[in-house]
Amino acid sequence: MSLVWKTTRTLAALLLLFFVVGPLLWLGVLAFAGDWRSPDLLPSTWTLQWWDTVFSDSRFLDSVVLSFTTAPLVTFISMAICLPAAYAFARFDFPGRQFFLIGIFATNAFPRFGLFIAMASLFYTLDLMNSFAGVIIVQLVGTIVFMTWIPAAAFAAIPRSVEEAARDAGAGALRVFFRITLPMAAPGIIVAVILSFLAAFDEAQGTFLVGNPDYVTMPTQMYQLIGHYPRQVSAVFSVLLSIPSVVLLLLVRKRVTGGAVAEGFQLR
Amino acid sequence: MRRRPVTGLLAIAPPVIVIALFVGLPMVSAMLYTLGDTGGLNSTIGSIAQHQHTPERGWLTLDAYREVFADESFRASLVATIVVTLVATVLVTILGWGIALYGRFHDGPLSRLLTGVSIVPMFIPAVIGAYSMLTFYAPNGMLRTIGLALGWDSAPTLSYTLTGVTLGSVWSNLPLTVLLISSGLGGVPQTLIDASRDAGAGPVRRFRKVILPLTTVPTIIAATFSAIGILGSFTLPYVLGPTARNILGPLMDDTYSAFNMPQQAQVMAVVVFGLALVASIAYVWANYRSARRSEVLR
Amino acid sequence: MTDAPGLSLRGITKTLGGRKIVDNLDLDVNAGELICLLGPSGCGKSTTLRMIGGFMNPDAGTIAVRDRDVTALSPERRPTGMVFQNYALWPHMTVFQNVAFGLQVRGLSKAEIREKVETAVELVGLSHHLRSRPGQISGGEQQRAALARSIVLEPDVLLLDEPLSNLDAKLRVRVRDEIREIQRRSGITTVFVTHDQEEALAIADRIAVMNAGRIEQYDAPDPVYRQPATRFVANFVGTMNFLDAQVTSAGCALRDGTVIQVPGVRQGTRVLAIRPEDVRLVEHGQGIPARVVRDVPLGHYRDVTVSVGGQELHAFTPSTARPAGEVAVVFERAVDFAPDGETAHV
Repeated sequence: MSLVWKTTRTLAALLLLFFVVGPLLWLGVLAFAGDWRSPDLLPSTWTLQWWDTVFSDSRFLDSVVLSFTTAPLVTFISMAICLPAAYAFARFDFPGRQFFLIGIFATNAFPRFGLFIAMASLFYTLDLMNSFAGVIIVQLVGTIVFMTWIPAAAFAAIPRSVEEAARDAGAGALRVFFRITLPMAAPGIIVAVILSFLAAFDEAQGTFLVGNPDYVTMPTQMYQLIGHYPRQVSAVFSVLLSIPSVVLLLLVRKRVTGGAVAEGFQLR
Repeated sequence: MRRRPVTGLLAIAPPVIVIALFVGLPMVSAMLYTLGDTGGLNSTIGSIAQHQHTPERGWLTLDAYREVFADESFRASLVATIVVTLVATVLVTILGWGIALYGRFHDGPLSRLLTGVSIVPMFIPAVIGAYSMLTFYAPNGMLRTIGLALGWDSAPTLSYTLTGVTLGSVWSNLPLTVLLISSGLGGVPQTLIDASRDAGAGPVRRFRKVILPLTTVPTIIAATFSAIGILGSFTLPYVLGPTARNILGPLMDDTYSAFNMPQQAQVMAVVVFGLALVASIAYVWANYRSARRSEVLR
Repeated sequence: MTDAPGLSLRGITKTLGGRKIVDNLDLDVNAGELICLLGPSGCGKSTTLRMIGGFMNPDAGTIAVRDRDVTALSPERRPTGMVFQNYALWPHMTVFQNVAFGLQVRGLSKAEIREKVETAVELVGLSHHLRSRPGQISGGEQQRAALARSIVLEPDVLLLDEPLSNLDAKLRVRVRDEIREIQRRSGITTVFVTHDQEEALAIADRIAVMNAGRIEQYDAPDPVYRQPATRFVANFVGTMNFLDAQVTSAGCALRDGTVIQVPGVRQGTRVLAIRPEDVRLVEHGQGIPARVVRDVPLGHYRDVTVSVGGQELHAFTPSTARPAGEVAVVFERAVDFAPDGETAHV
């Protein structure tokens, strides 16, 4: 009985593992596949030619450059405007605190697509269509919920007394913030930074709508690849597109599983 | 918490303004547009849209909603959206629970690998995730290839099906579910579980009477997040889903870009938003409950 | 006693992270007895308790309850009931539901459950809080609810893991006496883990003093206090003065050469252990010469520090006396140990 249960459990775990990693593995193999006939488990020939195709096409490289310009920039702007707000949400009481906190989240529930259509009108009016600034704004909007909620939770988790002790020791408000509060909240903030970076990096719909045809980021490029090129090219591009994510994942895995994200999405 | 009305409001002003201007305002004008308003921000779009409904008398009209709801393919998509959301949310919550329980109560290489790997989809761009599943569930994809190799001749092709979209939604919402439930489960002190064992409760009763009631809130939050995410998803159903009778995301896109009917597309967006709000009620309630409980405990 | 022993541990060993937490431990508890596992943190007392409760499995050894080997049983099948340090009350259930939980597991009828819960809750004096949730009652009340939850199942052995450590000093004494009273009335064999020697002395029929995974002494409170078996016990239980001495047939030579007479001390390099209340202050010239170093009034007695033979000693004296300057001391009782902490001799 116990053995049956144990075997079932292990099998279920392996099946889940297959379910989660299988698609990515398959794509990884595909990126190097030459000749591959359907029922075969692996390609019969291997090749790097798809990588050549991608690297020799300037459009792909341009999109790489653009993606790595916008995503960090957006993340930085998001930090600059959201972190003070996160601190205020965690520490100050002011009229409408709950309303704004929930409002920032709730606006996220409106389907992106509908939002972008409506945004387009506004962007026409403000002359932001097909502009760099437009792309930045479209990506920024998706990071704000991460950059306020998660750091707010991190700030709120710091006991008041720790800050008060520093004040007591003679440190001014700014010094307390930079020497005590910020370092203690750093794990949560780092998670927020990573998630914001990924959200900006990953944003495709709005970027396409606002940036097309001059500003094509990696994910929007990917949309155009699917169906128009051999699937191996898409696979190569996918692998490339996943590299920053995987690097970031390896950097913050402990913190993410440590609860910073989970904590961040409990209302306070 | 200190009362600092001015500092507080000033500090939150920048993100709130960004959200209000670039999300709130478009949202409101989109809603007005669905009701036939073509003034202000909606004048540009109103001048290029086709099959637009404007009020013949008064200020607003529900004609666009009437048209959309009368449409067979919309109704099919709406049903598909609701069914896929419900099924995927239930599935992902169950799987998330399984992984969280396995991770907490069976420390071993396999459980650590599984919990570690289950958060990977969070870091994969949506379009890559969708595309990888398209190839995975394709006729010549990994599922069928491995299935055939193991002697399962009728291994299904799930790409371009709603089942595929459902599984894909489970895949992409698994990380946050696992994180939220694991964190909630981690918050249940071992002694509470030990105490129930001491009282004679077996595994099932321990789960039902002690662990589950103490993690209701994170479970509901996780399920709400999944539901909202799936309702509004576009990339996944666009890449992986069927051409007709897909969920609402791709239909919105078609209505807007292929048929040039932005008003009807916005009606669909408002409907999805309404569904998401319904799902959010559970989230707000859960948070309210947890806030109240922690006050009592304090 | 003809009854089977309430609980017996044989050769229990537990290694965690390469460290032997519990080392070949034997322990017998008579039916109806309350014993304390007493020791500093990390001595293995809680680990031992958790193994008795089934929450940890010993690497070696057996645990028997009323002569029945329970070593292989999981906690839910063991006839033991545990009161946890933080009470571990389920916050989502009322006091009634908490206490009733185990009875529901056992499939009792509603009427039976109600009756048993009411009896148990009355025993701990919590009847007016049946419908309260744990978060709404005080620490002392939570403690009693946890106790009721355990005893309602009529376990063969009741296990208490530092049950008083989260209560304030006054409440601790009251709940301690209540626990003792409830245990006497119910007659449940009880193992009580604590690091507080005063608590152990006050409540236990017998005390097992633990150190580094072993039992140093297992005896009634009085002998543990008055005849500590090892230097560790002497030091850990109560306050104790230690004096280095060279013992010859001529007497005990203290550090500064003063020779005093202490009957029954073994010869060689020894350590004399003397309780502060056994150090009597007398007029100068009527005993061992001493000088008062500090005098701390503590209400109903004074803690007087005196310098004797080149070392300092504490003496507890009545608060009426006002000793000062040159005095003398007389040792009423002394126990001696080898310097390396070997066994005692009275």
